Amino acid sequence: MTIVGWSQIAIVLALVLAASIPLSKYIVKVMAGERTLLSPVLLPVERSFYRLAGVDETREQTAYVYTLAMIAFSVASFVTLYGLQRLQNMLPLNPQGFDPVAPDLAFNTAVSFITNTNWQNYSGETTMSHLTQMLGLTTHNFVSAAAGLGMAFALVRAFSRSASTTVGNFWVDLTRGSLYILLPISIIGALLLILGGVPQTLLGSFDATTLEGAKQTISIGPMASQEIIKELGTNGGGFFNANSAHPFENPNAWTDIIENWALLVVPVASVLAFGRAVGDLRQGRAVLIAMAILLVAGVLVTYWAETAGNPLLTALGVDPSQGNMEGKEVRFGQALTSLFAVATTSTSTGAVVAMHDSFTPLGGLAPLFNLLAGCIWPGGVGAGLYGFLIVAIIAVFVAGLMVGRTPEYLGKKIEAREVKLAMFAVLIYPLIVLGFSGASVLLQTALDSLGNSGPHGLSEIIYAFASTNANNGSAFAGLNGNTPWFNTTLGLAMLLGRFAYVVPVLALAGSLAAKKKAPASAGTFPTTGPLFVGLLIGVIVILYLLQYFPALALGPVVEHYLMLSGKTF
Amino acid sequence: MLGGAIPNGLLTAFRRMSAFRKGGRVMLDLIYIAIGVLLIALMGVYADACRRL
Repeated sequence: MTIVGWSQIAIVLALVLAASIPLSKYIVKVMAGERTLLSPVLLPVERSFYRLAGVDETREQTAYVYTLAMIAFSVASFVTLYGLQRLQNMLPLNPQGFDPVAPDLAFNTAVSFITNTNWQNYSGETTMSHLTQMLGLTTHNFVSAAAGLGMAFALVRAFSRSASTTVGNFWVDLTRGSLYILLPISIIGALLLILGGVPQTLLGSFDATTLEGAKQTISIGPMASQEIIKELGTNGGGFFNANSAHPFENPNAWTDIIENWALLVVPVASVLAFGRAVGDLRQGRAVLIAMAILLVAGVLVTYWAETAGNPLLTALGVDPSQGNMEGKEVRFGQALTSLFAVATTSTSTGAVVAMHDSFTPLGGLAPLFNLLAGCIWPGGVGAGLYGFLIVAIIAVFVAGLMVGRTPEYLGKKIEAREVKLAMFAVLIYPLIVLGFSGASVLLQTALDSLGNSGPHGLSEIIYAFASTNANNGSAFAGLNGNTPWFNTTLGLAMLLGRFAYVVPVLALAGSLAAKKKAPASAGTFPTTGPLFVGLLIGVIVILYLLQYFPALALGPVVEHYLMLSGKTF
Repeated sequence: MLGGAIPNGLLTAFRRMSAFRKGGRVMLDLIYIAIGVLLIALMGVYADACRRL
């Protein structure tokens, strides 16, 4: 680790924080339907969508109707995206003449993009037509993120309102999130990426002659537009299989900083927006500080482990001064790579600038733990906020148990029903990850997909299910997921990870919205100070580290000790 | 015994699916669309259960 490296990390995080403050004010205005700077241009567009779809923007929904609207939208999205892939050979904008995507892969990809996961069991440059990339995948990069933001704000409204029967309107949230927040930043960001050298064209590919005289086909396409929303919407699905490690998707350190900034800025701003929306910025600040501590701790572990290097490579004569550079891009270096790896798994982005499979065992442990915890510090667009608020509810419940008072959070009493719903959400994750991972290690067809044996192979399987379940989408890269078993089970993990989690969250929103807001009293547990921040982190450690400790011990931890004793996998 | 029986049963089902794939892709399309649609739609039932909790 070096001072220069930490300075690079600090600069990116400072840029994120600086942009998040004004963006949080803007998000609050947009989600409340107030007039903004962009209203003169976007309001007519927004209203035309409502007229076309027959939506009454003034009519709010109960939490149950909001959930049904989200489910209806997801069903329609799934069917259209599946159909688009299966029929791409008959549709326009397919300059390379790609065949239809195989059914199991089309299922996996459709689920992947409607759930904001963007797990990719395919190489985009050799599988998807431009139409599939632009109309199918990129569109869902916007709407799946906007849906997440809407659901988070349904929960925020539940906290900020008193005795309310409604939590917002799903269609309005979806439209405003896409149109006012994600689209304008994407346009500016895509132009900056083009300036940085990212291609943006409708051409399919061109042939180049290499220095040895061989012919090489180089794929190009509408990359900058997909790249920016890939990060901004915490989606992560790259144009190329190599994702942001590819020199076209992420040509240099400048574009890397833009991409790293983009994947953090909306989730961080959403947390501050939460504080503003509930009328006490300190509430958002406390949550953000807890998130920041966990994020920086992850960066510290990965950066330290990767710069410490791999003693087995040093023994082979590899220069140890740069640490473990296997699977990394020299143009990014250790610090920015470590930050990206941890940030992409702390949010639900899943884009990668390096192959996480090549990290040292402990270097890969931090991203893996982020995934196992559900990518909630600061999390995906919207998803991180509602995920962390679930932890906050459990934290105040634990505090209430300790002092013997009925817990309350932001003036709302947290009773048995709320805690049950929070636990439904929290327990679905280990059920899916450990259940599917356990089934996979017993199946020869699943084991045949592994690139490595032993504890590293186990890490590859756990990582895949943790990544899909948390709707992250990054891969450990050693696992061939494009098989009927993994396409189907990873697809199921994505579906359950998104919907089985968010359904109790929205039910919780309905329950909290209906409660009266009680004023703070002398017995109210303060949720703005360091004690609450510590409690939040403590609850996360208890919840997630203990849930997954056996799996982590058998995977990266034992692999670390075996590496030190000279064994590799 | 049960721990092995369930994955082995799934493996057999997937082998059959792979063989089926060669002959009937449209049928396979319908199966995958049904899995996705039914599972997401089932969440409506889950939402109702959560509401009544």
